[in-house]
Amino acid sequence: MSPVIVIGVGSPFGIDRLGWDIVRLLQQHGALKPLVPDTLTMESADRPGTRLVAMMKGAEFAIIIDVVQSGMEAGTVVQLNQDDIHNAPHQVSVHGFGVADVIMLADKTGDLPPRLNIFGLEMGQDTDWTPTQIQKNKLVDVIVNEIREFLAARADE
Amino acid sequence: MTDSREVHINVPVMARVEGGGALALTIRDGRIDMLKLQIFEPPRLFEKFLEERNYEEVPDIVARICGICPVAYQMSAVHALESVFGISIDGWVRDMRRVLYCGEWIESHALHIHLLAAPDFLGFPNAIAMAEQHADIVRRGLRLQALGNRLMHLFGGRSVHPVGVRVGGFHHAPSPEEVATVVHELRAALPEAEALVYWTASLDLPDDEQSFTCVALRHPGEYPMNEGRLVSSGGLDIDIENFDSHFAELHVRHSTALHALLDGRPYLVGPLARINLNCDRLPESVRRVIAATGVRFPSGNMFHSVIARAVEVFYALLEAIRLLENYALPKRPFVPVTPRAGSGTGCTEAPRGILWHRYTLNGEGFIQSARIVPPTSQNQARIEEDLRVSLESYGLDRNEQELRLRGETVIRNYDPCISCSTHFLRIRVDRQ
Repeated sequence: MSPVIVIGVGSPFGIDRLGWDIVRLLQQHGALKPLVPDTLTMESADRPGTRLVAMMKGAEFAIIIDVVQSGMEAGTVVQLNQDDIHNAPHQVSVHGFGVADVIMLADKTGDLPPRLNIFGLEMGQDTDWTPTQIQKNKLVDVIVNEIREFLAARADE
Repeated sequence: MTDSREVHINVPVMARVEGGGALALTIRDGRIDMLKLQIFEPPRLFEKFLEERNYEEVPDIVARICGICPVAYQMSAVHALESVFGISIDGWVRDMRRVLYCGEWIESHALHIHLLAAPDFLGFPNAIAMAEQHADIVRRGLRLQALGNRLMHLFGGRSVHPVGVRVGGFHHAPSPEEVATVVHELRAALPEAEALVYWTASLDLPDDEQSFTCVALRHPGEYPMNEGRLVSSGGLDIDIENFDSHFAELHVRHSTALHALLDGRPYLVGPLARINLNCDRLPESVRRVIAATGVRFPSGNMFHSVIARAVEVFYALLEAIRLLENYALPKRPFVPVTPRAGSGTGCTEAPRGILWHRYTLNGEGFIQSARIVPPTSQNQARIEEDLRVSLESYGLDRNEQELRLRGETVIRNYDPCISCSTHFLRIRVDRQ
């Protein structure tokens, strides 16, 4: 198991495929390619439900990518940590409570990776909203930087 | 004492239900005056989607009907199409299809037992709350579910909406090394699966004996999955081709999903019906464990469904090991098929019960008509019947909260193929 895993979740259709698109962009990113597979695993999952727990098992840092609906302006890069999930008064992704439920469940059973972040783009209230390439690239840059910083800190330990 | 109150329980939207559904209940003068379970099943539209599609596309299209039991849809479809083309499947392909089905039973049943049903029987509002005090139970469910997914991935290429199935067999045969790894994992999980049977039998399940008709496949030599005749506890014993001569689908005003009746009466499909009709087809090692629990099948207690699911998880592990322990690569993982015109039927045992398909094709192998009868659709009338009996037996003078919870428990006990069926009842009570 690589220490870092990136999982794009969602169905492969419509706006719900954002996670898939971002994972594909990350897989093509020059800075990440050398890290695969020993240090970094990247995959997409079609509404994984509780399989998410098994997918994250053994990772030190898990990144989940999904569309987010949290009331911010559409296109905003959103980064949530485990506490944000617990405090979320409403659903935080288009899969209802799917991802959040699984994270809370894994937390109760002690099966969460030491660090977990959800990254996504805010979709706002418009279900027809489509992210621009610039917005997607911005999200990719944020995730790449997070992975770099994590690995740098890990190397220093 | 006569309860003169009038209670209306309206559940306008069942949250987290595929296709949407509702429950309406009116209690008047201490009797259930009206009870309607509505489930709207979008998968029905797939019958139209399939028309004019080539037979080769069917396994991948029908897998999309359900994220929890895609294998069942694939298996019923390929068997129906193969019957049109006049080929019979045996040897490696037959065995590995059974293994694939074992994976789906394990995955689906483990999810339902631990995350959907267990909170009802242990007194928790949901699995997350239950996990605080019973993390071990949730972990076991997740482990077994992941193991089922592993099996599905092995032959399906992926565990959700698998793509490995084709008419005639599989697109790909996994390597003996991959299989050996999975067999090792299956063996390691056996004690846990056996313990699961004892655990479900130890739950404080409601004692709710009812009279109902069970329907399942029955095979002369094995516990049914992909093949068999349609039998019932009422003496029915027919070829799957003759489904329409005894079973009737009908529209009811309160649901867009078709109800199904056997000779005009509701009937049960699913694990309890399966085990009630096929307990003698389970291996001795499984029957010994059942006997040790003190539970007897056939059972008229609908809540023994959760035990039946656990038994099937244990059995599916044993069966998958049996079929895989001498695994060898086949020369070819499929039988070549040549399309021809005709009609064919397939019926297999989905985790939730019999799933019946019928297709008519033209000479080029394009679908002219398709008909799919899913298990949840078939169980609808039985669920309504059960709700009436269960709630009246439970006591209609109880408060709305208690009635709602019992109603939810009764419905969830069927593991209706409405994803994430836990806690789907939002309730509004009008008192008059």
